[in-house]
Amino acid sequence: MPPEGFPLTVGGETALIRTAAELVVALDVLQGDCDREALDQLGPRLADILGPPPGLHVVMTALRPDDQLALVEALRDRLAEVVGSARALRDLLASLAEERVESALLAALGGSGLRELIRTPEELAGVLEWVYGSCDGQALEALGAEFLRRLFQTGEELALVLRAMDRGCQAALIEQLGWDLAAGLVRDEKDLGYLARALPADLSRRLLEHYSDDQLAGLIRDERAWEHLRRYLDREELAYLNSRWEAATHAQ
Amino acid sequence: MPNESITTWTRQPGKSGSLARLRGSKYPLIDAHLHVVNFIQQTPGGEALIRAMDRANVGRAVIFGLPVAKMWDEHDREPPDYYLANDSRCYYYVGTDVLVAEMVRSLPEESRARLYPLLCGFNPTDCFALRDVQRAYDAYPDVWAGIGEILLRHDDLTALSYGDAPRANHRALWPVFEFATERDLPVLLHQNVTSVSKSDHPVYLYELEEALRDFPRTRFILAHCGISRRVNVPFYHQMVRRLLAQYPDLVVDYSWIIFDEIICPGGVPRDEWLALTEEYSARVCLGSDLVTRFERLGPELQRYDVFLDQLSETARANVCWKTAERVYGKGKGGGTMPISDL
Repeated sequence: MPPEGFPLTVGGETALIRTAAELVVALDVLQGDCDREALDQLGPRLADILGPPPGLHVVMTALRPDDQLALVEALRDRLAEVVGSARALRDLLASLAEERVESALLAALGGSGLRELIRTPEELAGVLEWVYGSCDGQALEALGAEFLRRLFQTGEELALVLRAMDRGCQAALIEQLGWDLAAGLVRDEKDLGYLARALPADLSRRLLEHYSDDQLAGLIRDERAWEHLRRYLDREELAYLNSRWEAATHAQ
Repeated sequence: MPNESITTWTRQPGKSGSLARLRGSKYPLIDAHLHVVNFIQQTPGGEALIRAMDRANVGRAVIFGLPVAKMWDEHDREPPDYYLANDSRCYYYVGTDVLVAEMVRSLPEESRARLYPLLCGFNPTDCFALRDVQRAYDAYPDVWAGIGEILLRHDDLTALSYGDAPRANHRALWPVFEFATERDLPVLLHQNVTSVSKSDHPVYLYELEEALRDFPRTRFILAHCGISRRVNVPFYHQMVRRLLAQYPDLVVDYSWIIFDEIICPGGVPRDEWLALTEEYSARVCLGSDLVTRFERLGPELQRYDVFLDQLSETARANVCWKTAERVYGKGKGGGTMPISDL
């Protein structure tokens, strides 16, 4: 970048733009009439101007949705670099008010961009917390089943992500992981409680049904474990689990 | 300070825009009110400041940090970026003066000569306040041109800050005012004239007047004429006129929302404020009151042009630079650049 910044010329006046904050002020003094014109002019230099977080966030906040889409498209090849981190992606998604912009952002990042940014279940949950509707599924689809299978180590981690999702998409995540893998993430009564309560009743029941009697006996070892589960499971789930557990312990 | 009431912070669809506003006021001026450190005690640095001043036609600037730092509470997931960003509290932060002084010292001499740095990193409700003022003054004797902006009555900020409510007549400040008087240092005060819910009369004005009365030789500057968000009273210009008449060493700065809400509402200068400014131009200076965000200097100061255009040449020169130069230029950090070079 030239030391004084890249030139932006509108109406015969030229300003030198070096940072995201300078770009926003330039757009402000133009009263929002020339946002697209400015973005088009700066085009390939936008990634350098926006720089690290929160540059993209600062500029996106100043734009109308149609211009937000144009900026995302203009940054496409360097979008992951400009977004910078999962935390910054979460903050950006939190500030966006239109699903079509969120969807375009996820699409432009693509699987490789999202995998570059998201490294932990906590980060994935942070991102999914701020997307709605079909965007949950879109993000998971882009991340891919292989990545997701490697991402989770415990039932608590999976529950964290499930809670951040639309209910309608939760089954799709578990299908992507496979029910065996999802059930295998549960190490103890705490994992089981968190996971059961992150799911709607039908999926929770399906999860419980996935365990053999012996597996259930191994997960719920004593009265203290039952005490814990009573805080999380509803009456039907407890009755079902109790019957399975009794069957298992009597058989032993 | 960032504020929804300032026209430069909101777009006005339908009004024509121009990048020319980034070049600042058409009149060279001294920005007499500029925070170079923000509420989380970060600064973009001296080079960024000088670059922004050059772009915005600002010859010199009266700069200072912020005496309070916003906490990032353990329970807040996101760090705050402003004192109103969340409910966490603010605490007095002595280190702000070190940030400012080191920033100034890092600049070449010709840039330093363009800055009037003030020290403000002390708790104005602590009777040890003078200790911290003295230490900062002694540690950087070549830097300081005065004291301020001391944040006293400040609506939400007062409510969010730990400790007693700071006020202009707090006895902890008496030694600080004496110190300033002995060294002929100007003292920039932020003291709301009233509280948020008392808009029919200025309930805190007497606190300011007590300090003005008891320190008649101290060179006080009342920041943005004592206004703040949601703070207003009737007869504002008469009140300011009376203060200026009553206290001959008092100076006021026009900055922040006093301009947009009182002096020039809707972009139209009020006749009574033009008259008051003509009469007292030698005791009025102009400031942006930006908290860092130097890239906004140009439009922030350009918005004053509509008012400055209607002043006489003499009054305009006073308001734009002569008053600030006279008030702040006497201190140790004062510049030596001739006014004609601005």
